[in-house]
Amino acid sequence: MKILDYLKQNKLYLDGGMGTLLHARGLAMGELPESWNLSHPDVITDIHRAYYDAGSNVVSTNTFGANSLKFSHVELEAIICAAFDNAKRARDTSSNKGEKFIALDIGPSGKLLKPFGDLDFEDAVSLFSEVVRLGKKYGADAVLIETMNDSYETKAAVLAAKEGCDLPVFVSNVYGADKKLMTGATPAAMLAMLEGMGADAIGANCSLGPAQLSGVVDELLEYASVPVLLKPNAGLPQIRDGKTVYDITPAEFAHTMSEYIRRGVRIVGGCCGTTPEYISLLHQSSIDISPAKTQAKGHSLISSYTHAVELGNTPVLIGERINPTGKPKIKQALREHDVAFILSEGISQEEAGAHVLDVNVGLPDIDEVAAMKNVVCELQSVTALPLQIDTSSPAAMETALRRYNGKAMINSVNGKKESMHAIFPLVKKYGGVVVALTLDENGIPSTASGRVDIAKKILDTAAQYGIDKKDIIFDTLTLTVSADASAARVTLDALRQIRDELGCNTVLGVSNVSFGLPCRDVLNGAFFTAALHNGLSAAIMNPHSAEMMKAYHSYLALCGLDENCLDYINFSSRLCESAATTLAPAAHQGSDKVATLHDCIVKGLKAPAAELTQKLLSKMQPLDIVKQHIIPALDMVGRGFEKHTVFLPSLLMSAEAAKAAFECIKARMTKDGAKNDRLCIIMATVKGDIHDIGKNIVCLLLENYGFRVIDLGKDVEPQRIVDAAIENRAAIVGLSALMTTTVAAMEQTIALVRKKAPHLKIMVGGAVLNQEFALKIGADGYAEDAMGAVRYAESVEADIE
Amino acid sequence: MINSTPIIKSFSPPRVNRREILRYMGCASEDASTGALIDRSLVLCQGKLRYDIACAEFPILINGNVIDTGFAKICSHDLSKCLAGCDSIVVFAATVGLELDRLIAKYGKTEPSVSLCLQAIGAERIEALCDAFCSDLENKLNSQGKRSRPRFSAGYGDVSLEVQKHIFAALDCHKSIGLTLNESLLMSPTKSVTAIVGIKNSI
Repeated sequence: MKILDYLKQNKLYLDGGMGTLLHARGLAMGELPESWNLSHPDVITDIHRAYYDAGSNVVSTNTFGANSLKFSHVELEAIICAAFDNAKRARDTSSNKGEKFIALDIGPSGKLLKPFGDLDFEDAVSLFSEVVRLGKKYGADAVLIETMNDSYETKAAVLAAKEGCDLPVFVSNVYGADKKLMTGATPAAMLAMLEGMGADAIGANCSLGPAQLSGVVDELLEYASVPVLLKPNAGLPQIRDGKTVYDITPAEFAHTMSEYIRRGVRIVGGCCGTTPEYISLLHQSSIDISPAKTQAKGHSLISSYTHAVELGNTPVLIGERINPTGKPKIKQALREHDVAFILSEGISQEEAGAHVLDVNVGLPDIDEVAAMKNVVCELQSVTALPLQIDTSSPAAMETALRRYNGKAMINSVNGKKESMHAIFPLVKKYGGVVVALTLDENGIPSTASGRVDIAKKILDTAAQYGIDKKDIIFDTLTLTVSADASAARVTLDALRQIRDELGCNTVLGVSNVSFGLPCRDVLNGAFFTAALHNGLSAAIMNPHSAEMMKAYHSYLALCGLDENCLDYINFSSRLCESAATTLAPAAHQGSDKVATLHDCIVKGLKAPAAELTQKLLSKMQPLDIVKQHIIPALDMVGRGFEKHTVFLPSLLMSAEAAKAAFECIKARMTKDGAKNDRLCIIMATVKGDIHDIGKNIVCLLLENYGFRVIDLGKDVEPQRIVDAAIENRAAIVGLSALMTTTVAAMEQTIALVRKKAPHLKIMVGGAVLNQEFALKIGADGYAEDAMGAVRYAESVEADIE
Repeated sequence: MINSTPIIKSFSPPRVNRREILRYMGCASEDASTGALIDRSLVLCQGKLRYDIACAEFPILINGNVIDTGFAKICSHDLSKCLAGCDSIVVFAATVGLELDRLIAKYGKTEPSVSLCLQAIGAERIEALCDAFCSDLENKLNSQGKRSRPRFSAGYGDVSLEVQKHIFAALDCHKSIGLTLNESLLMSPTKSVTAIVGIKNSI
């Protein structure tokens, strides 16, 4: 019988701990347990057999840490082959007459994935793929991915399993006392991602005893439409009288676990500290409990690396600002690879109250696949909000979904065969809630019923791909009311019908309604309220629009979605705060004088600096403001820094205020088509080095002084630096390294720059460098700190002039 | 006999020392704007930090400059001097978790002053956690008529960073507290410390 067929009618008993038993049998400290498959096959077989005899249906192979980071490829195959031989021998000689299966056990790699660690996501997938391939070859009945404490690594392992075999995949994560993974995910977030990717059972193991996992189990059971798995420790290890003891007895373990089975857990076993005795008692005390039926729960979830967002309860706000359409600054940022600008757009929407961020990087003249991958990876490293991947390119969509750390929203599919054929396989493989536009080969129906008919067609086709309606959210298409007086009414009617007749969630890009009309925000806000009243589940909107946010928070308060109106009260107090003039603090801190831009920059006041710059722009040329106000202020702070009367935080706050002023100036210059004539500088932290705070500070200061800075980030390949310098006609390359171990990479980068673009000046900086060493490795200049970098760039510019 | 099974402990947040934060930020004194920056950054950290430690005790044998810890033979003049007269060591790994790295990265891209301040807070927090652990350990040892030596980390003096690999294996750092070591032997989360504390049998 196949394991999933057995699971349909039965509970599944897994095995218990392996490490504790191996140490008791003499596994030395530092010795790799997996090597015992070859060196002590009888011990491993005995332990497996003891678990089968105790009542386990499933034994996991002794392959927890078997991967090519720890073993050579040849050793790895020998170990996995032996591991299956041992498990099969135990299965065939056990006294247990019940159904018995063998699961390929996959534990974490022990590495953290990029950007916070150094293992690339695709390298992690390859690492696990090799193990999956061998597990399949040697006869696994299922794959058990367990003890994963990072959602991203879990995703890599599940992807490897799904791509490498058609075996059932069970996934189990490690939750702490705070009910989260060590990297932050809640049970619901993990469940959203893993169910989306097609895991056959999902659960928790290790870390805590069964009683402490109660909250985790409840959350998993609330949301899971697949069987829930639980393999806790025998409590926590303690040393008593020189012996390691776990504080939960086999009887206590069996008792608590039986309770969980009654609550709905279908797959049970033990982890650290549990032995065949624990499994035996658990088996005896729970064998007569009927397995709970696993039911489809219908929660429409998306997730990030931290949390899940449910569609269909409180309406969800999707920030629309990361989209080049009609936004010259985003266009420019995408063309110049200015990720920082895009990230700050994301962060500001998060701070304004968005729950999800739409990401659209489509420009005709850029490599959208590369840009999408870059922006998604960067965004998910700085924001905890789930992302909505918005692209018409299936290739860009797949790249983004693959790298996304969670279950994304997918924008979009429509009723055209070609669209569904391209997008639904991606939804099925990577998971996601897909925005479905109610249009097809015949265009957008002019009636609500026409749009509902397309929705039905989309649902039918999705079902053929195995996609449930909970993972479809319909967009009934906002058309502009100035072109067709009935446009808004049709959209709203379709919305209501889809909610009432099809029981599906809905989404709209709200602001389209007001194209061509004055005071668009007012109309948008009113339409948004009407849409919410007609059942809108999510809006793609601008969270900085006061009218939209007023409509949203008012609706929540009026419709009983805001207990005690607390959210509304919070919102209104923020509204009052932002209405107060931002110049007040400047005037306050600057005695009785009216604050000047110079003062604001010296004091590091961002909002007033921007406001005063806007005012100055009405009477001065942009570059004159830079020369007469910004640079003198920065110089004053910079001189203080050089004399050690101003410290780094104050220098940075001034730099940030200057940057705020600069944003206004850049916007004006872009609008006027004016060009910045200062030098272009390529900045990067070298290959192998992941420290970038120093480099970021240098970038900020250089930008303040008007230099055009292209920041390539950290861990940058030498060739990329050369390519960017040539493409952007840069004059200077600035390289940063913190560690002695990466200075070699700096030297190699310098050598390549010298060879390919000998005209470039190279400045270097970082904790391990000094002037002498900088010249020794071939640089032209050394910058001791950010001001030093500015001074060097100015000297290069003076030489050129 | 000493049992070397790693034990995991979670601490409550130690008291914040602003002077230390200022020192890590490179400031000689606190003015109004720096003070506001520290306050804001501390608020950003609220609820985001963990205070986790994995630790285990190991018997040691010292032969000249070679210390046999059972999990590794460490060759170091400085460490053997520090551990002179000790029969065992407590090895620990401490971390304040990955969320701080995320915050540092987030503000590094948008507001470097905040990022700098978060770095300083992280440095102060992890040291405070190590101090709290060592103080608890010292109290426990004193009650047993023992005392501890100052903590010593890989990378100090002539102790190679390579020792980190052995400490990570001995404490199972990834599984126990989510701490990882990269190819350059640096730790992620970055605000983490591993250290060796010598134990002397007499006060």
